[in-house]
Amino acid sequence: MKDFFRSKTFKVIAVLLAAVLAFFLRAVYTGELMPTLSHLGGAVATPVGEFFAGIGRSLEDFFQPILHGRELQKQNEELQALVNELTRRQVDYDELKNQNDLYRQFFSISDSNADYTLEPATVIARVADDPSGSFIINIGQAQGICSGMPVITEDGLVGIVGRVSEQYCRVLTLMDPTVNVGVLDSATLDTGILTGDVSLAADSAARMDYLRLQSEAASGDLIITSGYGGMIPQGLTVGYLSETALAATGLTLEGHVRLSALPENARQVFVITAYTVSRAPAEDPPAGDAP
Amino acid sequence: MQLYRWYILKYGAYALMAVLLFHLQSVPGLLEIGGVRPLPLAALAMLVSLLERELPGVLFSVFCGYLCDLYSVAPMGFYMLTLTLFGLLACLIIRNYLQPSLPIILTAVLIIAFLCRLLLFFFRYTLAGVPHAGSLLLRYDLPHAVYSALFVIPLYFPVRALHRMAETRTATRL
Repeated sequence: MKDFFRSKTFKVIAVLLAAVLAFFLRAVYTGELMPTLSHLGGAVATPVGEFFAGIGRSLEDFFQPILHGRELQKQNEELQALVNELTRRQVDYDELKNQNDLYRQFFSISDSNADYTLEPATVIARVADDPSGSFIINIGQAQGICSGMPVITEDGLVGIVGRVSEQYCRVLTLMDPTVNVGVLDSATLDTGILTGDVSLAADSAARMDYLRLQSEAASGDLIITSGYGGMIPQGLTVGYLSETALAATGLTLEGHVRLSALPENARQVFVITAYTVSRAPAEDPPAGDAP
Repeated sequence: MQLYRWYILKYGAYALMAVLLFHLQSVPGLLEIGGVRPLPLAALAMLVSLLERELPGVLFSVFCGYLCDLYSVAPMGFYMLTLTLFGLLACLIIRNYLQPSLPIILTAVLIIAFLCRLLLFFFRYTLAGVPHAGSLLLRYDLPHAVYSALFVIPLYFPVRALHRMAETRTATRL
């Protein structure tokens, strides 16, 4: 072994390792990818990744009914129960909505609408070494994607954009401990911070911190984004509260949120690259007395 | 000239295997078992490092590490550095003190894969002060390392066959 350390080969390897170490330290210091190297890799890997992801999806579609038949049946029963519950709630909702519209008209309350600029993307790869399920999508800097932008599916918010390269970017899911999103309970309007918890990630859930002690938030409440911070618009569905308990500090409550948009089901996603909130002009109050 | 032809053929085949494994390990849901996704590319990098000479082994580890880093949760360069460094160390130890047989290579890859996970865990969770992260070591990192190392078994035979074929055709250890 002594001969090896005195050889020219060792000197070449030492120089190579020093260069790799320098690249690594630069990436850690700047918190970014090595631009040229990742762009080069992305340009080759992204189209091939799309091809392999397509094959993977076809295989999954073919084998899912065979391998997960019982699981699907159980899921179907749960969804049927949810449909029944939601149908019951719909009756209340319609009545309250009509009442609310009338009040809005009477008190001249204006409506606010959010317009999103969406960039469609395809999931081309799963990150192999991440237990919180982050994934790669086929759009990047070239399409105007920046770190921190929200990523949604038809089920709601699935994560935020992490590292961005020219042709692809990594999406950090809501189960990642480094992701914090301002959320609110749609039933009680209590706000909190949703953060990933490694002990909950296996159940596709995340933790909602800083709920006030007097909060009446209960299991089953819909949790949506609060818009706090300005990067993520208000009103995106996050999930349903499954339980609440006193936080370790004893000063606040914390809840577990079952996420509605699951990263393992995500195939097509949208990145919200920009959004504006416009206020619709209030309609004239109706003639006559208040109801 | 014939020496270079076999040299290029062998490393071309290794590179092709690496690219194929990179895409296979990234395909959503394909190799996933119980939420654990393996890193077979790391197993291939270690295998080639242990069977080939030091410099080609290091260069191949850098290439595999680069591919792993492209779609990784770690900072860019993490796998390039760890796979190269651990691969070289394992190569020197096994070549000088042991025999590169399948059980020894399997054990070495398992240790290296778990060391990589430990390092990543330290930077990603311990230093960041993430609560309740300890259980992740047993629930995800150890199964991930075992699952990744198991890929040595199917990869060992084609890699050894390529290695031996090039050796016998050129009567040289490339």
